[in-house]
Amino acid sequence: MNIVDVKNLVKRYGTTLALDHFNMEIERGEVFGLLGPNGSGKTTAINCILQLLTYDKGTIELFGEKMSSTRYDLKRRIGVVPQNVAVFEELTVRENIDYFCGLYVSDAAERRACVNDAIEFVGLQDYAKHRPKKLSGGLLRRLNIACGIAHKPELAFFDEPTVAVDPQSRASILQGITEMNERGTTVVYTSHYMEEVEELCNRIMIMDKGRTLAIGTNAQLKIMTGIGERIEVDVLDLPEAARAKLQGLDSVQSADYDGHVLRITCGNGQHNVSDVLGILRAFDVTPGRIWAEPPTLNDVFLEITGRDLRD
Amino acid sequence: MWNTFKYTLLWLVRSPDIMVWALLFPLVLTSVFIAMFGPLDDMAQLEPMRVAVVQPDDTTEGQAFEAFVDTMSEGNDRLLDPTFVATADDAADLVRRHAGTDEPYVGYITLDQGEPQAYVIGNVSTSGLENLESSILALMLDEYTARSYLAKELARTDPAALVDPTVSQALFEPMRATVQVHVTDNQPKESTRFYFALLGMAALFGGSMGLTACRRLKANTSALGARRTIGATNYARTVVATLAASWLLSFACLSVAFAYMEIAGGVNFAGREGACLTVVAAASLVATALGCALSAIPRIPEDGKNGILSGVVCFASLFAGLYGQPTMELADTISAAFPAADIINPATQISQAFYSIMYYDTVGPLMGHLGILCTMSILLFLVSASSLRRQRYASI
Amino acid sequence: MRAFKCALRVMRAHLIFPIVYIIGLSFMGIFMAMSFNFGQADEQFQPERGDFAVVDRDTSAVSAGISEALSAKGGRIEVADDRQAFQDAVAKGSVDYLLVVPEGYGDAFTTAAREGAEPPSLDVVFSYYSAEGAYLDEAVGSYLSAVRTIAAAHPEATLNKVANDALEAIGHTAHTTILETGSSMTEVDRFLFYLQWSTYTLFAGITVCIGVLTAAMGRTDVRRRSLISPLSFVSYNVQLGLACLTITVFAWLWSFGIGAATFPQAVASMTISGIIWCALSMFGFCLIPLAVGFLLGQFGASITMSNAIGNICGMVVSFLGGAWMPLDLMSPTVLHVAQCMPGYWYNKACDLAAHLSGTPTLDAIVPILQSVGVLLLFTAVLLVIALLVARLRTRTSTAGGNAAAQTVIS
Repeated sequence: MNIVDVKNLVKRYGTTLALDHFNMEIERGEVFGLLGPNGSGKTTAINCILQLLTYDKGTIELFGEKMSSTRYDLKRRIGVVPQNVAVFEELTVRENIDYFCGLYVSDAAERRACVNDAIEFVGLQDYAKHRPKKLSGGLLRRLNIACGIAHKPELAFFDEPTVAVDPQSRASILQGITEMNERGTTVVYTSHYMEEVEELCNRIMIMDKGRTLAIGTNAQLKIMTGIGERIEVDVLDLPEAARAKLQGLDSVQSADYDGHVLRITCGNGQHNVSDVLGILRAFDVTPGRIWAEPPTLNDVFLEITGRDLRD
Repeated sequence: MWNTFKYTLLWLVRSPDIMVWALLFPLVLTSVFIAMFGPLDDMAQLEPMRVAVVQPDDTTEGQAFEAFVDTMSEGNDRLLDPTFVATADDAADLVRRHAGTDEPYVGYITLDQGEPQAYVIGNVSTSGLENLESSILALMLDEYTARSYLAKELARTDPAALVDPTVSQALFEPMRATVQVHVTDNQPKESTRFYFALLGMAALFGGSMGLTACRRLKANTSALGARRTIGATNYARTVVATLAASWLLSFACLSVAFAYMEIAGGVNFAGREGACLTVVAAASLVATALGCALSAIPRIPEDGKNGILSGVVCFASLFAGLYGQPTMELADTISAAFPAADIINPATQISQAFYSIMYYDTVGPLMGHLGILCTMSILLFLVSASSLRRQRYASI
Repeated sequence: MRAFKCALRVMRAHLIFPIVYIIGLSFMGIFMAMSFNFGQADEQFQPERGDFAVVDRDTSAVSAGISEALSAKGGRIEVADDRQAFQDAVAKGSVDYLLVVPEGYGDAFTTAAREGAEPPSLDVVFSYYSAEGAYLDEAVGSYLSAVRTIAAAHPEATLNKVANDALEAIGHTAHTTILETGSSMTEVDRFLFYLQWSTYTLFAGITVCIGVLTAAMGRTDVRRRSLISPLSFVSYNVQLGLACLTITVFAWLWSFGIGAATFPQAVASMTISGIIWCALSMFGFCLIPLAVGFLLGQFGASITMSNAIGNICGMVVSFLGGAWMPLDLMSPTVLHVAQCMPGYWYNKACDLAAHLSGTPTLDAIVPILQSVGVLLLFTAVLLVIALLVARLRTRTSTAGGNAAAQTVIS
């Protein structure tokens, strides 16, 4: 059974089509990455799923049941960490977590345990009595997360939770999400940090202009886009014939030489590096240093969504 | 629900912005009122009027006039504070010289060929007090004139009667013709109504609490609202708990101000504190509802709604005559011309509810005003209901 | 002048504030000043009139005479003969004076007068405005005193005759003349009242608008950007100050302009220099809320906070300026405190200026100058504090901070 099942979701803002027959299926236990440029519809999709936004068409099912704004039983199983740090400035760390946890857990004893766990989970033990104003950016983000997951949800939405956070805090946040997932929480994660998504997510969806452009595992996406490694070779004197030969290889998308460095972008291929080296040897060219970088999710993302600037 | 109530109360109490309105505002104004009205109540009796008197000549009439002035200038509740001068010109000069100073003369009086005459300063102030003083002076002379007419008539028609002790007593001795009674058991001091006015206005300004509470409830006005909306607690209960907390706090703050008035200010609420607090509670309810209704206005920046609230409260208070004695006249004129304006003005209803506590010995009129206030609250809540009930928006 | 222009654009984005606080609230004073009855403007003396009710259970000639005597001093209002109706009449302020004449009062009164006994007394209820009540009570006393004398002097006379003769007696009145009248004075007073009341609306309005502007310009990162730019600290604050001044000038011109337009008669009867000095006094006063708003901005006060502080200070200042009730009714202590507040000096300056006559002499101008000087002193002190706070704030944590990670609560 899919834990999230979105079918043909259409959402318009006036004449702008924010979601265009958007589909999303997430299985229990997944860490699902939702990627897309700014304004691609990620947050709109999440807000529709959470029933904060009305939509024009489509169905949304959570845990196999139709979601609506009054399905409090379903809401109880969901946790949300919003993009903005949404906490009460006037309440302390503990009070904030207790309040938001209280929206899900009414039993006081159970809630106390949840709040303690959450504080420990995000490492805010020393700050439990502080007000948000006294917290640094990283600590605030951690508080924001604690408020969203203290009630131990089955399904958690993380909307860019690591914006403006230092590497240490980020590492700890990502580790926490992995732990949550290991304990059985299904996670939907959006971010602009590709390496985070690459590290964290089992399955990734890339969307733009309200539509799904690609979906699959990290490896599947790379194969799907046909991107192979990037090879750079220090070469002192490369005959044009050799460059043309390289360019002619099936697996090579481009081969450029600037008089010092040969840059080759490969497609999918099994032996790209050895093929390149074979041709160089054939032309009696002695390579200097050689770098071969495997393709990154960033490459995949730019390949799929294009390099034009977004708003 | 209790959780939301508790934490709403907590964050409201800890917001300096909110508490300045809810608590500091009534306390500061109460202090100002105490400083102002404390001595005023003691001075409530009319001060003797400063009058220049042209020294009457030595005739019988002159002596009688002087005796009359002397009578009026004696005793604790004397009406006149006379300054005798030689001529009318001197008197006029004296009055003119003191016009506009801290110790002005009402005018001067003189006996001109046996006829008493008053010359009064013609300008009037906003308090209308000068005109009243000169009217009282005129009335005193009228009374003197009438009396001397009677004496002359008697002397002409029945001189024997004048020596009758009963007649001369009737003619010359002052008489207490009336006794002041109160139509209620307890008559509050005049200044009490200013404190009522203050409570009414402070209550309405407390609407900013409802406004802020609503802003943090709605998904389309704050990130906090969005976070609370997706929570698993029934949204209606979240709304009710939040509004109940802001009502309670606004009521509590006003009650503190009320206690401060009574204890520090020595304001006498004539043992009707319970009824007064009921009105305070109803006033807080209307204010909270007003905040909610304003928060429901679409397409206005949230900060701007606070401005609108202030504007609404200022004008509502103005038309209820809450800004001191001068504005009462305006309020009276308007309520005479448009009686309906009283019913839709919460400030008027609040102040009338307070007055009815002090003026009536039945609870009927008070209940009427409380009923209108509650109806008003319900209507305002209804106006905001569709906006408050809403969990999903076309855009946030 | 980039910062200046930017500040004005920011204000344009918050247009609702000047609309509500400066334009909207100015009508409060207009309404109030327009509605007041500033007494008679004619040469003839018109005695005060109050509203009275006579509940006549006696229906004798004497009780009718009382009503008639009262009618000369006020207007009669009908009030039903029950306690609830009495309470209604007094609670709603529809009568100033309510007199109950008990059954058989006329006979009892004349009998007592003839026997030289203490006459029976009448029950009266005064409204809260008891001064009018006391005045009407005096009229009743005057009439009954005449009844008493006539009844005693003519033991055989009928009640009707006594009552009518008494009415005739009190018909002989003294002549009262207006010693000095300023028919135009009342209009000037009206305008002065408007100016006086403006202390509240101007204070609240300007403080809030300046508070809005300085809060917007003072947001942590916006401010930090301005501070690290080549623009000097002084130049930045001067430009911001100029923008605040622009708003203040607008508030001043609007408030004075609408007052002058609504009360043209008052303005026409004032001298040119009187008008100019009134306007200048108002401007001097406007600078104080400007400084307060600026100071609040330096403390990082939110819009709601400026709103509250502006209102509270505005009310206190207008109170102690005598806008709510005349200063001469206040105790000496309060008067001393009032003299330490700007409202007092502003009103004093306006009052002196409005009553300038002919070509003003130096002697007449100096006291106005002194009062305006006190207003400027208030402003100067507040501005110095504001600039000190601004300086100190650049060295505090709020000058920097991780604004990107700030919480979003509204």
